[in-house]
This record gives sequence, C-alpha cells and structure tokens, in this order.
Amino acid sequence: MKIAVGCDHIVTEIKNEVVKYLEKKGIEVIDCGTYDKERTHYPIYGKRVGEKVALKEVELGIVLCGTGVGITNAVNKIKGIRCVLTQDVSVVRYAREVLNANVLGFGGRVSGMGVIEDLIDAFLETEYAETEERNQMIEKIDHLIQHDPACGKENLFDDLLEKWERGEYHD
Amino acid sequence: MKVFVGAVQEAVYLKEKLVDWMKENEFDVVDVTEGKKNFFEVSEAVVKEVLKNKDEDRGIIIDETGAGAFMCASKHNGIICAQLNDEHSAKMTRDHNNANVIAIGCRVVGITVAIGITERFLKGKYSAGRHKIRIDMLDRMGE
Repeated sequence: MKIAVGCDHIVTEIKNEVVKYLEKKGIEVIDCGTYDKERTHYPIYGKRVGEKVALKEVELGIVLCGTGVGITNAVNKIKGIRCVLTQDVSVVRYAREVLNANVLGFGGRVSGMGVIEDLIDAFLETEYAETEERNQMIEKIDHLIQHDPACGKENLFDDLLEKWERGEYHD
Repeated sequence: MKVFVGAVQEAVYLKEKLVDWMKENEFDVVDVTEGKKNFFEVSEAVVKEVLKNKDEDRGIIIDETGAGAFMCASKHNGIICAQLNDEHSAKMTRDHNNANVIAIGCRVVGITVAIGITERFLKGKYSAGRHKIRIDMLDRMGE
C-alpha cells in the first residue's frame, strides 16, 4: 500500500514519526513535505497530498498541522477527497466505513503520538462497507466541487508566494 | 454577526443546549434545522446562509460524528470548516484559520465541551497578518 503524508512546519517532527510508524508497517510512504521547520504554508502540502490521492498515485493520505484544521481544509478543496479531522478512533472508523474517507487529518499539537498511532491503525484497518445509499451520499459530497480548479496546477500559489516574499503579509 | 445552526435528528438535543446558551449570551441565532433529513441537507442549509456574509456570519453544524458535515462544508469555496473535539482547537482555528463554520459530532462531544467550543468559536478573533496568505491559498483552491 502507498500513502501520501503532508504537514506544515509546526509539526514536521511528528510527521516524521508518522512516516516511521507507517514504514514499520511495510507501507510505502510518499512524503510530500514540509521537510524542515522553516515557516511555510499548509495549503501547499494539503494540495500535494490531495492530488496524489485524487489522481490515484496513492491509495490514502494523512495530513497534519497544529490543529489539523488548515491542512484538512486544503485537502478537502480537491475533488474526490473526503478527509476526516478527529481525535477519536470511533470517528475514523465511521468515516472509513460509511463515507469511504480517503484522507485522515489530525492536529499534531492536539493529539499525542499514542492517539495518533491508534487513529492511523483504525484508518488502515477499517474498510468501506459499501451500500447503494452510501455510494449515493459519497457521490453527492464529491459533486460539491464541480470544476476542481486546484488539482494538478503547479503554479496555483505563485503570485501569493511572491507577495509573501515581498513582505506584504506581515503581523 | 448571525449564527446559523443546524442539526441532524440525533443531535437536536445538543443543538438545543447550544441555542439556549447562545441566546442567553445574546448571540443572534438562526436555526435552519427544520425539515432537513441528513447531514448533507443540514450542512448545505447552514453553508448557504453563511456564504451570504461569510466574513461576518458563522455556522454550527451538528451531526453524529462531525465527519460528514465537515466533508460537505469544507468543499465550498469561501468556507473554512473546523471539525472540532476540543476548546483549544476552537480558539486556534479562529485566530489562525478564520474558520467560519464548525462541525461537531454529538456522539463524541459532550455538552460542556460543546458549549466551550461554541463560546471560543464565536468570541475568537482572526489575527490575519502572516496567516492571511494561507487563507488566500485556500480561497484560490476553490475559485
């Protein structure tokens, strides 16, 4: 199995732990970054993971930032992605079984490593229990994005990053 | 600021508790629950209202786990939705992400925590600055 993993600079070390945990299970991990603690922006990495899952280069994705909110919103803006953000094993099971969730999100500053490992186990071990009704609901969710403007567009954020470099986003 | 609230049938009891708290604390609450059959319909009803004035108004969606509501709401351009279990994330997601909608699961979040989440979500302020580039990026993804 192949899994894409992405994070922002706040939780790089926890992402590295996640990668190790997955590799120990014999999973091939595509690490989409970020790779260090230099300040960066979670949508870049959420987008990368979402694209890999949506284009079926990997089976599943895992994303994390401080709370998980930012990066999970980025990944869900890609058509075909159904990401769950939680701290609960039971919610992960439901999201896999009923909604066929294909990305797991959590907060690296919110959940501890023990809980994170348990969430990952539930995500990997639970299968989608297909019914006609569930298929229809998933189709409705996927249909909420029609044009999919972000997927595959490498230069999508270029002008915003230039603005950042010019110091136009300041506290 | 108006707060649009919606719940699936299983979560109406929790929604009522939150509505009571919001009214006691003088928030302008609009309940869009009536007649909605599932998390998809509840989410769509809340999102539709929030998008009319997305920088000012807020949405709270309650279903059984929060997962379905979160998936639906976060798909919409202009919506930043937080699926929440805890008060810390409620505070941070206003401050950093400018979240305008939250999703709560009634089977996993108790009444006290749900009220704590609601309070922080409604009172929390967005600090923009360096965080704004990320919000611009999310908006770009949905344009």
